[in-house]
Amino acid sequence: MQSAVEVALGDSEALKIALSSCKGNRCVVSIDNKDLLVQHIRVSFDVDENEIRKSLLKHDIAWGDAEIRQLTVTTTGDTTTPRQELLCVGIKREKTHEAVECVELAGGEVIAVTVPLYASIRAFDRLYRRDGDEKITSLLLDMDNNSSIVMIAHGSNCVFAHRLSIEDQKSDVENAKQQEIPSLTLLHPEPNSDFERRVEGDPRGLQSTESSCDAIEPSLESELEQCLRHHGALFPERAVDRVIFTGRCAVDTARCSAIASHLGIAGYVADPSAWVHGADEYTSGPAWTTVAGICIRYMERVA
Amino acid sequence: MKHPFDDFLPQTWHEERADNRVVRVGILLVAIVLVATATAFAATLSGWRSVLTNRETVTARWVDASERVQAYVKVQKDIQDAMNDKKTLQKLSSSVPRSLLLWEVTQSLPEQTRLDDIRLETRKRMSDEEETFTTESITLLGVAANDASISSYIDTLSSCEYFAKVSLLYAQLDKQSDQRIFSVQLEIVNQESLMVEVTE
Repeated sequence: MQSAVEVALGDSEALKIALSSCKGNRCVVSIDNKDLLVQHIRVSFDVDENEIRKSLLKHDIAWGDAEIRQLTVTTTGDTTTPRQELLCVGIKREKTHEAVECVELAGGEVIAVTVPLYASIRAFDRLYRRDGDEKITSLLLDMDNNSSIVMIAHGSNCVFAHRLSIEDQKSDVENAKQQEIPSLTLLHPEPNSDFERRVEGDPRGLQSTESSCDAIEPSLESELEQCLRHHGALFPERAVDRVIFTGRCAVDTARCSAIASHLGIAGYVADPSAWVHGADEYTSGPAWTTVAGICIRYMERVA
Repeated sequence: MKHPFDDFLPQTWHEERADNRVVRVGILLVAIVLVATATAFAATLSGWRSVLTNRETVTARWVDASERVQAYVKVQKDIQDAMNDKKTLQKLSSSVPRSLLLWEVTQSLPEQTRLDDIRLETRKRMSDEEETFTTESITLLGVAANDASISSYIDTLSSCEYFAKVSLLYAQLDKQSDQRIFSVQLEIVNQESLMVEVTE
């Protein structure tokens, strides 16, 4: 990684300055969690795209004008009526066009539009490079200021995703931090005081959390338990081994510890920049999980 | 194989972008070709104009050179003609007029002597310095009454300024007419030598 610049959302001028500091202009856009549409549906195997869209429309009319990608998670039903469980992720075309237009106005060339859900899992590809790693079940909790998303992955394969509908997730500390962020911030190679580096013995890129008895929001606890139940129903033979916290709000390690303690699962705060050569000098901590994932996906040279 | 969540832009969007890029590159190439063609055309036109200008200049110089060559050839011919005329004049001026020779040969004949034949011979020889020398000689064949008349005739011819080396080739008796047949040879004095003598 050569450089990292943080710009305010939608600030085209700041984005232009940021792009001018880079060598190329090819960009990959990751849509914010709050603009994602995530839904699990069960359909037959011979279902086409229109039928999938119709099924999704029953849950949310926003799917009508969304670009949809689906992933087969598992198969259900008996041999006479086999069905498949699809993880559908969609982005409203309007949001995609807005993001692409914003980047292109700043002089960038958009080569792909992806989602944090995919980028976060890609950020931990290096965690699952050994035989048997696919047996590890991880729950990724991507906590952003505006929205959060839960993902459960078997190894590096995402099998479950759910966008949390909690509106009051933002901690007071993060609200204060968000207000302090200027429109364009060049990140210097200084250690992040709010984020502790990993402890020896933990997997590289993960920092374990300590047990905590602090309370968490009831709605969050309820949503997470629903997610675990859903996963347990789909894969009764697999239990979640660990919970990994990513996103800007994951720097609040006390809250992450509280969530992990309530779930009763070993918790880790992500630092995927450990896999990107040079990233630890510029960007470290869970806030850069999506960026690191995109870098790992598109960069030729990774650590 | 790409992951389904790798890209949420529709394939048609990428194809449209690729088409637009191709169109832009095509337009750029066409523009480059047009500019190159226009530049080449302008350069060719400029070159063609200079060729036309130069052609007029070359034509004028060619005509001038042709005229000069013709004039040169004409002058050379005139010079050659003049040289030929000079040679002819020199030839004529270097020899004694034939009328004078005939006058001297005939007027100095003694009585009862006649000439049957006069032969004029001109001989040319080249010297070591490639200089041409012309020698003219006259051979006279005649009939005289006696040897005294022949001797008198030879004396008269020897005293003439136009002749030199007067010699009797033969003199014999004609049995039929009882007269003497004789032949005298003499050289004509060169006019230039003659002029030198006169000057002296």
